[in-house]
Amino acid sequence: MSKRPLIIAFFIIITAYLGNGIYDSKMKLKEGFFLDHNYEMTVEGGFFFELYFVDNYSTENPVVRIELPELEYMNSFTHAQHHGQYGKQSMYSFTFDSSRYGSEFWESLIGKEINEVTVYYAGGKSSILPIGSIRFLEHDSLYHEAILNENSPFQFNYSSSSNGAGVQAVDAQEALTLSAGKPGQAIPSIPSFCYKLRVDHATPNSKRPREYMNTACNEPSFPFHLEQGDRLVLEYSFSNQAEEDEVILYNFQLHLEGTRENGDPLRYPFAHIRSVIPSAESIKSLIKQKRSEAS
Amino acid sequence: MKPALKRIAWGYVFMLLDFRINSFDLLPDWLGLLFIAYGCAKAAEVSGVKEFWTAQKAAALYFLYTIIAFFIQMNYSASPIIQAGERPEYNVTMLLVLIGQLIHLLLVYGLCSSIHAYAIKQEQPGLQNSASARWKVYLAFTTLYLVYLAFLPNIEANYTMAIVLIALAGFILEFFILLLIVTAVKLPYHKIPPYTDEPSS
Repeated sequence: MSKRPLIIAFFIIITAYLGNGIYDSKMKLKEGFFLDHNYEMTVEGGFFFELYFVDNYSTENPVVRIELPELEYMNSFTHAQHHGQYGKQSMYSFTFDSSRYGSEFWESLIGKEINEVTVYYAGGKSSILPIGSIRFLEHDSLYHEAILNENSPFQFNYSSSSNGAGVQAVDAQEALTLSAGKPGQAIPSIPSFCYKLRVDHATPNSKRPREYMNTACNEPSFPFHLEQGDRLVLEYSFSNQAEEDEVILYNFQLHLEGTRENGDPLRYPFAHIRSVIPSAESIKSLIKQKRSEAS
Repeated sequence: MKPALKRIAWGYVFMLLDFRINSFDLLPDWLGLLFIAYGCAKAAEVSGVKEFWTAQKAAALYFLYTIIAFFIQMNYSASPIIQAGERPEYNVTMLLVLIGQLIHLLLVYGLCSSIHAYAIKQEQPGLQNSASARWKVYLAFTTLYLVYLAFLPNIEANYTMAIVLIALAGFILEFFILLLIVTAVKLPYHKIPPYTDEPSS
């Protein structure tokens, strides 16, 4: 049997691999990069934030974790989560959650700024990369104390959000009356922020209206009366001001005021933190730009 | 001749099938390749068909590859197999798969050409044609498959089903190569003296 077909087949196969291999290497990034994070946050009652990192997709040598050298307490809370796939690149997200630290730690962060992180890969390699800017701001001590109070009138239940909108719910721990709700500190300042407050009653036989609807964009209609177990739901929307390659962390607060069951005044910051990331198209064009800068 | 061909057939069965208990392979490929190499050497000696030596060298090379691939797999997170559902990349795994497939192709060529030459010598045109036809189909399929694999890391598509179908088609083709060897085993063997130019007296 002739060897010629075998030799031709070998030639075709190796040519296909070489050609595709060259194309593959041209489509890869020389080095991964973080999106440009522009985070300013207060640390009332804790905080959380996410960092987003784009790198070449790899099953052999993926990113496993990052460290913030300037925040030594948080080094072990930064495992990589696969966030999305953009052609030959992947985006990882890293969540920093302060919920397990004491108030001394939060206090120590005020005035601090973080600009770079160390990225660790499965193969043991590491590199220090810029992330933009994370600044921890002075907080409103009145509401800080309200949140740290162990005898809190509300217990967190759930929250969810998408770009530009979100919902958060808390359960009343006692009977109380809300007399006012004022938009508090919003970082960064947002030209358009609308919210609705709704009360879902725990008692199905209640003759009271099931929902109170209030919208800050219109006229609010306080007071709200809540029984123990009633659920207070905040729905909000806001205008996203981030640039195409930028991640902004939005901190919202709705300062609730009223009276507790024992007659004491109630102050509670209904707070929400959410980062808005660029669209898939923006990330793809950013990858293209980084590739052309490197070549 | 039959025992030598039987060893090749058994070796091919070991290579083709994968029975595992707690990740322990009961029919390891390396053992199958040793059977094939030994069987080919014996078949070449007995029949005088030199193509068996080509198959024997390909089996030895494949044996060496499985040992090296095993050590690479143990020391790096690479594998000589692309998992269905996993996005292929140009990395050590891809290189191992390519080299493995090319050596496998060489082995199948060695076996088909050996059986082809053996069939000519034994004056078995049916087996001769069968060896030639199966080799052509196998070569065409493997070439298309490897070219497809070369493009996979650069195309964004759901290829899981395609990989599963290709693996199934590949297994059926391997089974037909095994049947070819089994057919050669079943043939009655006639010892034919080597051809010489000296006139018979």
